[in-house]
Amino acid sequence: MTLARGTVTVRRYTCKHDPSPDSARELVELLEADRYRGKLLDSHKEERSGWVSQQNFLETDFSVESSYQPPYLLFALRTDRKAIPPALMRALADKRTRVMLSEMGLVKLPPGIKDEIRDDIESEYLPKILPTIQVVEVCWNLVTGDVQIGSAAEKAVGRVCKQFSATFSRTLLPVNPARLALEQDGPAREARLATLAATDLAFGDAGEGRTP
Amino acid sequence: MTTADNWPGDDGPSVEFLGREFLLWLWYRSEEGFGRVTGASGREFDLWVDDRLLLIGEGGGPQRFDLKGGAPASSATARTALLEGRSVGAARFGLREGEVEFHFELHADLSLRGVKLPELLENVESGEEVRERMDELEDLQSRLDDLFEAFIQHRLHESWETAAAPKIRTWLHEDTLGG
Repeated sequence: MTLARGTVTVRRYTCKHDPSPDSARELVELLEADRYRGKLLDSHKEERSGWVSQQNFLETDFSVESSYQPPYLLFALRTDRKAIPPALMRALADKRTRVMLSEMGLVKLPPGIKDEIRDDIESEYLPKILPTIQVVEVCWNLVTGDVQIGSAAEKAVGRVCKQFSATFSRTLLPVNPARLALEQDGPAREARLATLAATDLAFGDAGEGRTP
Repeated sequence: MTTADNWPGDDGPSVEFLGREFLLWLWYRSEEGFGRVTGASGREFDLWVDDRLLLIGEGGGPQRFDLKGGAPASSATARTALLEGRSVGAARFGLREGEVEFHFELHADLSLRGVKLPELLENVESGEEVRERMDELEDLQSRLDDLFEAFIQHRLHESWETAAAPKIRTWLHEDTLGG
């Protein structure tokens, strides 16, 4: 877990919220409602996501005591993905296709049969395959509204934003240069930002700043 | 390269170059001030470019210089790349205020990677480590916000093009030419 030890990688978002203890309890209940519900040996090939404890992604029992360290609400998004390695899928499908062709005395399989073969292979093998598990930590400062998402990967962060919005019915706003620039004196700066162009550092005005 | 424009959830003005100019400004100010930079609040920090500089082409294009190790900020390659039109996409910095020291990679979208936080005090209670570390992370972000505010005040001021930008150009050209 990166937030607990070692170096930290984060993207910062903001989501204003009432910091009262009652609100922390409500938020924990919402986490509980959308907790991760999958099982390691489920037979699924689509992604499965849900909230888990930051201390251990196998724990999904949320409580104010374990998840709220004032002012921080701490949780993580777990996403499981299962897939049969492509080379294995190709080999198994090819082997079964040849057996079927031989049994049916055909040269080419009828339409749809190839998909059935792949579905059969997935039903048989997916329950035996352990998922790839990704865990992205989230730390929400309920006083300032800052939300730290423990990843820089766009896809992983996007997944957290989407799930956050679904669970809490609130939108996360990125703290990027434009938003930070507008934090103070927003209306006046917004008009100025709209007309701002990048600085040409190489040439500028008629080579100003060049040395002979 | 992720830019300020494609953050999930972003709907702000399209000024992704601001983050890249902020990184260059930090680099420039740290050298011009002999490692001393001042935030908008008047707080002073020791700041230096550490051991990584990522220089990217227009729109985060494929041509990039990723200078790692040693002192990339003092290399002619870095200055030349800037004069050829590339900009700073990320840099690893060291920042010190009093006894507190951080090392971190700051990207143009303001995401932080590989942040090395100060060691926790020994009297931190078990189970409180995450909270303490989050406090430290927010302390770092607050210092960077202070520096960003100082930058944006300069950047949005009408004298940027006539005073600040020419100084940065001079600094770039002089150092590239060994001045």
